[in-house]
Amino acid sequence: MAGFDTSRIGRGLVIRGTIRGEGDLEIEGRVEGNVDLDGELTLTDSARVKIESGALAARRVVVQGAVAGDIRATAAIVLEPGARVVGDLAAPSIGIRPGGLLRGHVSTSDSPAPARAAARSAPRREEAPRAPARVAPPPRRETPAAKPTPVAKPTPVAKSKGAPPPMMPSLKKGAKAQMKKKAGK
Amino acid sequence: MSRNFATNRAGGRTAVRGSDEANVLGATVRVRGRLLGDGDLRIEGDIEGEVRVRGSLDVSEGGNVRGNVTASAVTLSGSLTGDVDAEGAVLIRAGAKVAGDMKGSEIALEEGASYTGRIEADFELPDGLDDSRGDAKSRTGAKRR
Amino acid sequence: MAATVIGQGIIIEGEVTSDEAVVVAGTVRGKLTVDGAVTIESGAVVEADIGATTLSVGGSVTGNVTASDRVDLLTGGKLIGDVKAARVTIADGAVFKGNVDMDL
Repeated sequence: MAGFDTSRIGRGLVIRGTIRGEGDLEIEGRVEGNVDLDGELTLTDSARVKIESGALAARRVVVQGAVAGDIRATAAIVLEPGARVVGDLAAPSIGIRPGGLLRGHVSTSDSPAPARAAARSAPRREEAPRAPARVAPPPRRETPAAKPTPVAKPTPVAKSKGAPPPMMPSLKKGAKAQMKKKAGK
Repeated sequence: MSRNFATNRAGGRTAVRGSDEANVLGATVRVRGRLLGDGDLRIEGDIEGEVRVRGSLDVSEGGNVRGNVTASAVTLSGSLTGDVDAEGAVLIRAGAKVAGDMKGSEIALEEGASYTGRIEADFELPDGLDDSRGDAKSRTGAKRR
Repeated sequence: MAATVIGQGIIIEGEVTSDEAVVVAGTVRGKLTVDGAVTIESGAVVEADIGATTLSVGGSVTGNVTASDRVDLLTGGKLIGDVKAARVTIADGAVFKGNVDMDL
């Protein structure tokens, strides 16, 4: 990234299309489309970003503004106070500061995962051994397409006695393929 | 630090009494069954079952909970598999391992935490931004209660 | 200093509109409409029609440009397309291919 200064999309700018490339970028204006950046992306409090397809992707994403759409980062995503995001977040490290608002799924692991347990969406249930329903089968790296839609699979995992169950995050459909593509870049 | 509770090893209700004092389930305590409490509760042990306290719930670093949790405020430093329903703030600390949906007046996540699940804060997107790809609730197919 | 700077490593494809000055050092493909000054720096590549108040071209522009005030094509700049502006300057060493219409 040496030699690339920080770019800035000013407050008065509206971009309908895609932004991609290398270097750090600060967005103060409006983007409808997609952003794919090999660098640090900062969406300031005046930023209004609508992701039309896929996910907003960068190495590190700091959100202070509003985003409609999924966000993916290879390093970290941070929602600062004032951030308003409707969409899923996926990154190895995710921070949501008090005052950062999110409506969506969060996943701090980028290992592939099969269907999330549908059981979770039901109202509080009394059965004590809910653990197996939540524990997904071991990650299958060759999964052709991640299946985030919670098809309720009664996973035949042995009831763990006392050991914390592994966390199996789910990915949006296609996200795994996108991540593989990104990794292979 | 009072421990006025009955642990029912056969599974079933475990009542934690102690008014407004903080109650602690120590590191070696195991509960299989529902856990109810009036005051605050700190879990350092291993709980399998629903946890419902009127006060605040703190799952400490070594604590492990498998079941849904309801409290006025929740701080997770240990391990939780289950949904959280808090009136107030939910805080997932760095080092915690949490899987489940979070509901509360404010949900904060520290960088360094391992978390997977849904967060549903109540707010509107500004300036004509809308989630045109459908209701966020139905994005992953699971409709939030 | 312009409020918007599209840096060297950035590629924008689509429609860009702005009510403030824009400096392009990277790549823009599509359409660029600015109610203000547009500066295309040396090394920048713009494949788009441009509308601006003033336009300064030091890089490469392929597209039709319309400026309410002036268009300046600098040494080292390249403009392939039609120009419509009240005032136009083309520096020595610039490359230009297209029509010029100064009758606004």
